Amino acid sequence: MSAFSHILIRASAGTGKTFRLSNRYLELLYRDVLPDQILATTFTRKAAGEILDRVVVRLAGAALQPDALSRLSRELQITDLSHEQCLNLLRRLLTHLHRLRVCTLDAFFAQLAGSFSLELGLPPGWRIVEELQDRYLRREAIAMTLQGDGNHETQRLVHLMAKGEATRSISQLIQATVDDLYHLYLEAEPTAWQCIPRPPLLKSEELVATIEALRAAPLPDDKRATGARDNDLVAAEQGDWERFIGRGLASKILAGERTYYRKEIPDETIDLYQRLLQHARGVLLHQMADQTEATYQLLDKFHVAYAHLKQKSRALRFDDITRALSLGLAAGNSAAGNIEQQQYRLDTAVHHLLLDEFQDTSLAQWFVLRPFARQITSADLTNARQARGCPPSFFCVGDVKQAIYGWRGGLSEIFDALQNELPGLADESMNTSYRSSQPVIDTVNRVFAHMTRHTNLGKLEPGVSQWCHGFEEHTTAQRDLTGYVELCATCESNDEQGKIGAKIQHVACRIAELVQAASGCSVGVLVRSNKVVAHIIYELRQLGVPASEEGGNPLTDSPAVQIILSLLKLADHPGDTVARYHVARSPLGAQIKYTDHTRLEDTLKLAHDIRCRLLHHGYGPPILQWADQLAPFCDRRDRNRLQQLVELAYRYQQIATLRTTDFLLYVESQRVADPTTAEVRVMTVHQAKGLQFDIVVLPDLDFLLTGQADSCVVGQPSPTEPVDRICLYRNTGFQALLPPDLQQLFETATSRDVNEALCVLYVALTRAVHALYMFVAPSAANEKNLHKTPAGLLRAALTDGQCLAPRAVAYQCGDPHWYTRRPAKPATAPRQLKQDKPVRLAPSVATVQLEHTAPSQLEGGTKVSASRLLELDSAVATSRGTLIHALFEQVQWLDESPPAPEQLLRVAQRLASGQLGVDDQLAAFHRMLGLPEISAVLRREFYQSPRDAVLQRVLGPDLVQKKMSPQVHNERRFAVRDDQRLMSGLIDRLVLLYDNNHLVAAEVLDYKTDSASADDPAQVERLVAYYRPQLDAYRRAVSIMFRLPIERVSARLLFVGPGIVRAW
Amino acid sequence: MPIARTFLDWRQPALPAIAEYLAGRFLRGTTLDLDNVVLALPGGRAARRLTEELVRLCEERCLTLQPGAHCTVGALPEYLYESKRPFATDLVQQLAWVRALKETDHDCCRQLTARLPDEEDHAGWMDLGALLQRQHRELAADALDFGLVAQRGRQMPGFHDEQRWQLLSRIQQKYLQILDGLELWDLQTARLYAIQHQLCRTDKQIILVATTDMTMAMRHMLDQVSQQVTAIVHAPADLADHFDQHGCLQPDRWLDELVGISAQQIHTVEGPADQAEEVVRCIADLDGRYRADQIVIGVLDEQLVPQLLRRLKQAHLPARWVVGKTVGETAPFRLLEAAASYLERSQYLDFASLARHPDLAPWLAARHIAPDWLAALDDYYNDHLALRLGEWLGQDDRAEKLRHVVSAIHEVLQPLRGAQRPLPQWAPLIAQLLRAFYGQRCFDLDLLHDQYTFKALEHLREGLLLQQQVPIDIAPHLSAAEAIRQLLSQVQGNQLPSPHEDDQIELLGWLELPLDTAPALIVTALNEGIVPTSVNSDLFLPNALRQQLELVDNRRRYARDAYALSVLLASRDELSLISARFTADHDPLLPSRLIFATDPVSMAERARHFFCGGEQDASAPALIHVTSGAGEPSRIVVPQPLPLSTPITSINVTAFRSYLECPYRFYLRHVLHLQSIDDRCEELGPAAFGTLIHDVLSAFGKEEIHTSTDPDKIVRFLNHTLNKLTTARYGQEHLPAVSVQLVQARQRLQAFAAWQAQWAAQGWVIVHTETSGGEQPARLNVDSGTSVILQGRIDRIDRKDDQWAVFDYKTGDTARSPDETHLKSGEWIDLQLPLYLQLARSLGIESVPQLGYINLPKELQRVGALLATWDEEALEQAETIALDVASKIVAGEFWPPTRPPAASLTEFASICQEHAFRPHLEARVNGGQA
Ligand code: SF4
Repeated sequence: MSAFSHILIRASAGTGKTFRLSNRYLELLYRDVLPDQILATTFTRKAAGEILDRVVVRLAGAALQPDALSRLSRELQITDLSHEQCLNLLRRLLTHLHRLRVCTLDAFFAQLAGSFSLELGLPPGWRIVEELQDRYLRREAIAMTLQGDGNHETQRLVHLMAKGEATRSISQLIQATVDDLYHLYLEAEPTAWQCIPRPPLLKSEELVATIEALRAAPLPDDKRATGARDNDLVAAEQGDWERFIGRGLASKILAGERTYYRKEIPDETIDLYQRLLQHARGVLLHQMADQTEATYQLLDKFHVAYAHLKQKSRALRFDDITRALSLGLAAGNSAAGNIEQQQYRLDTAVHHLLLDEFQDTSLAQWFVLRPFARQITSADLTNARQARGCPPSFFCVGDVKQAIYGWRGGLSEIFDALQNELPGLADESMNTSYRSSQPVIDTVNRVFAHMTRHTNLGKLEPGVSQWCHGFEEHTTAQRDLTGYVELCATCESNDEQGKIGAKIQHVACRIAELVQAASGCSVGVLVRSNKVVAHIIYELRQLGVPASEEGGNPLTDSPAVQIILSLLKLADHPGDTVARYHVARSPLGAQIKYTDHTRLEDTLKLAHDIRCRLLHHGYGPPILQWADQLAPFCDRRDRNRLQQLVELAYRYQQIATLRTTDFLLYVESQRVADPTTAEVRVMTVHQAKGLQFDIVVLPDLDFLLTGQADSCVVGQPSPTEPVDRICLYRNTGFQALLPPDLQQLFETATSRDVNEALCVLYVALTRAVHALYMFVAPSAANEKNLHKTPAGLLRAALTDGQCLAPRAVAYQCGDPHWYTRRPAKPATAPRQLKQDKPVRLAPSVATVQLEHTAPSQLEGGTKVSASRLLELDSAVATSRGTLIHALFEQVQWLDESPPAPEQLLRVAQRLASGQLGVDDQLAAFHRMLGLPEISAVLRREFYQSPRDAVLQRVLGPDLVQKKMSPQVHNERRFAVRDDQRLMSGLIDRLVLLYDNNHLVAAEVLDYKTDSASADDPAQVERLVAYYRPQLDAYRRAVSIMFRLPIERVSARLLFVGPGIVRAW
Repeated sequence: MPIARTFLDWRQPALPAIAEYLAGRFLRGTTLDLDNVVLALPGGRAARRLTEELVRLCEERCLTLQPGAHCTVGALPEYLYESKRPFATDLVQQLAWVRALKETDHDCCRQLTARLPDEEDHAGWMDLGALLQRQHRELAADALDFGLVAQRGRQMPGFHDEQRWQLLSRIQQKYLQILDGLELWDLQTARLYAIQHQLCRTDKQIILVATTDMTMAMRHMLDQVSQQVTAIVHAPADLADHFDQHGCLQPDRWLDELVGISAQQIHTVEGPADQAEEVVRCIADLDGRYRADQIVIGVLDEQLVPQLLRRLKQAHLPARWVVGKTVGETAPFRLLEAAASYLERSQYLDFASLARHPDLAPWLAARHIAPDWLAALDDYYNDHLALRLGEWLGQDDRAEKLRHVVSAIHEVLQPLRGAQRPLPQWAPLIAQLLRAFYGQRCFDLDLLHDQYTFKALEHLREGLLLQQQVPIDIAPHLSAAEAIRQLLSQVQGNQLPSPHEDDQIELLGWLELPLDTAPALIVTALNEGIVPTSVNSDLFLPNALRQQLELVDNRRRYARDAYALSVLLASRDELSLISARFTADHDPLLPSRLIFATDPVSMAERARHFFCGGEQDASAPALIHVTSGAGEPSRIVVPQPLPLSTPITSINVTAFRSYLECPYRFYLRHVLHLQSIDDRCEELGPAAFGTLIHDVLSAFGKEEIHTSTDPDKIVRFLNHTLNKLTTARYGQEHLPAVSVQLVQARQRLQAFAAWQAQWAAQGWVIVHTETSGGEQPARLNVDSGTSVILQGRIDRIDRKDDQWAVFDYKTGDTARSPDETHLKSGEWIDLQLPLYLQLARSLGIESVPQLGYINLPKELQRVGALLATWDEEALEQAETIALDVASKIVAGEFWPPTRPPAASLTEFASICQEHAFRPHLEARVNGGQA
């Protein structure tokens, strides 16, 4: 059988990569490859689900319908495909459902790590940690870091990290450092933190001399020069070198200029300045190097603490697993690194790799995948397997233009480096869209061909050019699709806050119009952040346009939810008057009868009640109840949010603590979408990845291409090697002091940012099927240049950067009334709400199932104290109790057949453990048997003609005269119906009294090994009272079982230790 | 003689048929005498139900029932041989494994794991022990030991673990030796011993009730007493070849067996809430033909239970899930958990958790401690940021009150402090702790939560007894906290049954379903991975090895479930099967393979239906059932201020800023004095940090030294004062971050000293420190007749000759000038310094002083004074605004709240609906503004 080529596909948006991937999957199935030998991975579980859906649906379709069959055989280029074959393939797939490996990389790695936990040094029983708990762990680790060593070392590090400043918030400083840089700490070599050079400094006398020389040096012929120089001198004397290089003559000279206000600076002065600048550079670089190394050391301390805590709590993150695996795999000789071992523990070999969205793979992930990929693509192994069926294959698809997960560790550069990593990979590009209309594709082509016309890109220019350079022209297979693209300006507004509000209102109105005009079309409103999503949703709903909110924000955006949260806050902090006021003056306050926030006493009681309820009932039910009480006051969104709060509450239960405020933190940490089936869906571009919409609206294009600078920049020798240089972020002026290779890092970082921003733009544009509406801010009155924003790029590419009036349409392509020409879509019938039938049950009859009780549960009755329960008898006493019971069980009638010694010995050996000497116990038992009260009642004669008062009473005046024939049963089972209960259990000793083969009475005996004492009658009485309900239940059981009146059944408690017997 | 097999047709439920069978076989006169019978059933519930059937049957026929023994199959072996020694408990077994591991050469152990737990990591070792214990149990149940695995594995292609299993085998030997030394038996090994030495015998009749899957060891034992054994198989006799001689399933026969689910029985829904919804719908579809107790809901995924219970309750359907709670969810458990954390670290936060346990309140009340101590605890912490409690700082009665609480709790914990001890020795002390909190309480078992609490205590007691019985030789030495955690881990998962009431719809687990009798059944979560389960990778026993060793493997798992489902299909009048497409986290789920065990075309149709239905139904079913009144717009509003009860007569100068930012928030903060409380800060906040420095500087201003021009002297004084103050305020032992913060504060003070020395050298002298003005308070005359008192405290007033300077210390991280903080785009946003003029005037300072800040920011070069540049006109303007503000305040104008939200008044975000896009404001009561 011929091999599949190992292939790398660069698939532009909408060109059908999932389709290609499912093709490959189906082909493999067709070639008799077992599903568990195919590993198909992607990045979200949803996407993984979609791949499988595609495979199954295509196969099932082909199995059932002729046209689907012929389509499939065409698509797979298998001419002789039949229904039966499809059915067989489907059957094979479905019987292997449990073995399928169509999953996320994380899931596969977790499985792999689970099979090698021990070898990888993962704690037994590890689990993936909840985000919030991880945050707690980190916080604790930070505290441990700070606590570490009596603080001196930490103080030194903090001092260096803060560049000598006396920052107040230490935990924040460290928190921020950890959040920003810990991942780098893990990824990079320790030496990467030592790449800042430490150039020599002027000696202090040299420095003084230079400063003095400068004081006397000639200056350019400009009044301002003296002042500037004096300032420079002050800065130099104060050692404020950052200020020194930042302004005045020094900054000019640093920038390589030789004039000041067009006046020549004398050479001599330049020389002096150069020396000082050298020194300044040295000082600042030393500082930076110190800061960088201190940062590393602090992270290192943090790491130790954090790793310890994770090990202890068995809590891992997915990236911990990935890293553990990549380390384990790197050590090729270890068990985990051994491919055959992997096959053995995973129960199969992965022979076929299908990697989707490859551009989002991180370096650490690639390190884990690489051995699999290498094994598959390496020739000799291929030969080895050739004998059996289809040879291994490698398939990977992705698009560097859609690499929008840089912040999640995705490294699209790997994609480009793949061919070096895996020789012999075929390369293919797919640029024909099966999604978008001609105008959309034309616009996309135009945007990425012409955005370099933007004249104000400055240092972003290389990044933009590079991106455009890599862009290949797109075509579309959907030439007949009607379509339209428009770039237009929003309305104007003066202040910042109002601007955003007005803009969003404007866009919302346009969307409302569109929805009306193009009814039945799906609309995707794609924005940058979840916050904007919620805002747009809000405006749309004001206009009566139902919209689905995806991605999500914390539930705290709902005033109704906030009330419940305040209630919980108050439960934790009854002194919190803000929460008290909030609750008391809310509709909930009235319902729970808490309306006066000033009353501390009421608050304390309420707080206690709430904590009590949450502990006993869990978070779900009480919160549901409060939500129910609030619901009548809510609008639709608030009601949805309350529902979601209830859901969160149920989910939270597993990690609930005694602090209600922990739940608040949990709620704040959870983003919850508010999705509906509405045609308009609002989401971030990131969430829109993999989706398409008839209409795409982009209202959020006015943001800087390079946002907030990262706290550091990094360098790698090549995309598939670990980071080897780390440089903390510094502003442009400072960057000039760095050696060129480090300066280069800043440029690379900028390009990376630009690249990602353009990817986001690309993804956004290419989601559109028919139409694309882009909204940008109008030109400001004083606009001179285009901004460095996507809006600026679009205007440069599509309108040559013309001035843009409010509400003006700057660019159009296609037919503005495209929707009138679109083929009538079969209106998607609104989802039929299944009619809610009334729920009815048949009337109940007398109980069929019985509640089960065992009389031993009745000890103490229904009002009980736990104090006896918690009186731990000594361990010896407990096991002695069991043993003594077992020994008494051997006793029939003492006067006729005393138990055989060997039998007693066997029993004792079986039950007597360590501390309990067999002989001692037997001796004790014999002592008990010797106690007069005990031995008396174990004799037949005791019952034959009873002189015991209780027995006499039970037998009554007639029978008491007669000679009874008693029968004894040890460990007698019973099961009877006692009213509506099924009572079952075991009676220690049951004596049945027969008169002429006629059962007339019975006695229940129970052995107790309590350490009662004859000297304390009150205690004995307490014990009797305690056991009475239990024995009475036995009496009832016996009376029912043997149909004896209850008066004919007596009970007898035997305290075998002291030899006390009580009967009734 | 082989075991006798009896087939009972599965077209009727199993248990009544079995009762009938027993009645036929063991009737003796009028007694159904099972005294000599042992019934082995798959689970505890089935045993109880069978007893019910027997009682009913005997009642109907007027027979006396003499019940026999019954047990789960797992416990049957102990009926078949006689043990010679006591068995090691689970806990002892686990400890023995730990001991065996620890005694094995650590280098050897590295073959097993790359990282052995630290010596003191008791829980880590126990986990490892438990891991081996589990393997040992499973293998022993199938009559294997680790050595045999190594041996038999060798015959399997691709077996890679031989060395590992040999190592494990050595550890296993050691384990057995350890138990031997303790004169205890390992239960599993005892059984193997009995098998090997043909020691199984019984004089009882053994009846296997529908035990369709048994371990190897069990089978061997039964074979030794085969004449006494009858296997009852719940299946038609014509399927006899699907069962082996023990009445167990023949897996291969079931792999291709069609399970006759009809299309109408399958309900595919989206997420968990939809499953619950569908259940109610299915019940509605029963049209009232069944009583509640005739309907059972099969719960294959226990996570669904809360959803189901909630939904059923909303539909007014009485329902019951066997598990009311786990011990881990009960109050005593949580109490011990919190106590352990506090014992371990003794830190404030742990105390704060423990203190919030609801069961502490009554306990403290019984000690006559008033309930307001909780608020006092928060305040105390925020004032003193104590890492631990016990060093009492400050002298107010709040500390006094807390001292009682803390010492009461410390006292009861006292016995649990101190050095490590052998595990069994802790048990009585832990029991004593529980007794302290729960011993005095009277539990009313008719109240549900009392019942749970009581039962939880029983479980804890059992756990403690087990600990107590650990032989001293293998008892680990632990701290009390570890001993408590050990106890908690033993009982955490134990289930407390919920009470049974008449006429409920029961929710039952999958394993209980085949032997249940209710005619209508709705099965939820019929999804792959749930039913059937499968093992697709494993640390020790991957599926291939399992197959080789004839352990439970994926085939057997499938067969079990295929059989169970077949029984349900045959024996129920109504059966609905619900499978979902998504989990609660919206992750995709797969349908159970059982759904596809049908004819090819149906299979394809079902597959297509399940996999293409992916339209995520987002309009999730309503959890909240709104009865009335809901609708737009929201009636959740920002409440209007209430009329002032007493007129406002004084205003603090700093409050003007708040009013200018937002009158409503001003009202909340300065009129109602609302404050938000939190106890999660890990370091000095801006306010506390500022106060500390202020206080140091204020002390400085009041001492002789303030005239000094010697920076070193000043520094010494400041440092000394700082130390004194910190010790008084924050004690000896600080939160970790605080120590570093104090270093930072010291640096700022040092920079201040340098500046101050210079300043003094210029001739400036501090005249007033922390002054609130003269005898006569400063006033603002609002309008004719009324005036308000201006309150405020000026940090310091300096004088040089006839020049005056009024200063406020600022300790924010960044230095800002008065101009920056008081004006924004030319508008006054703060009036603090201008109003200081009024205060200064009341001190008799007539000439107009300079106004300014002395900044102590993080950038030490910037420590020093920054003066305001306002001219008279500007100051007049400020005064006008102040008057305006004051008159509005006096008039009670606090509405509406400002938008966008005020930057410095963030604590009112929830009241003011800051996170909503547009807050809903309460309408004016009498028309007015809205
Ligand atoms: S029933 Fe629930 S809310 Fe009521 S007292 Fe008991 S635990 Fe608290």
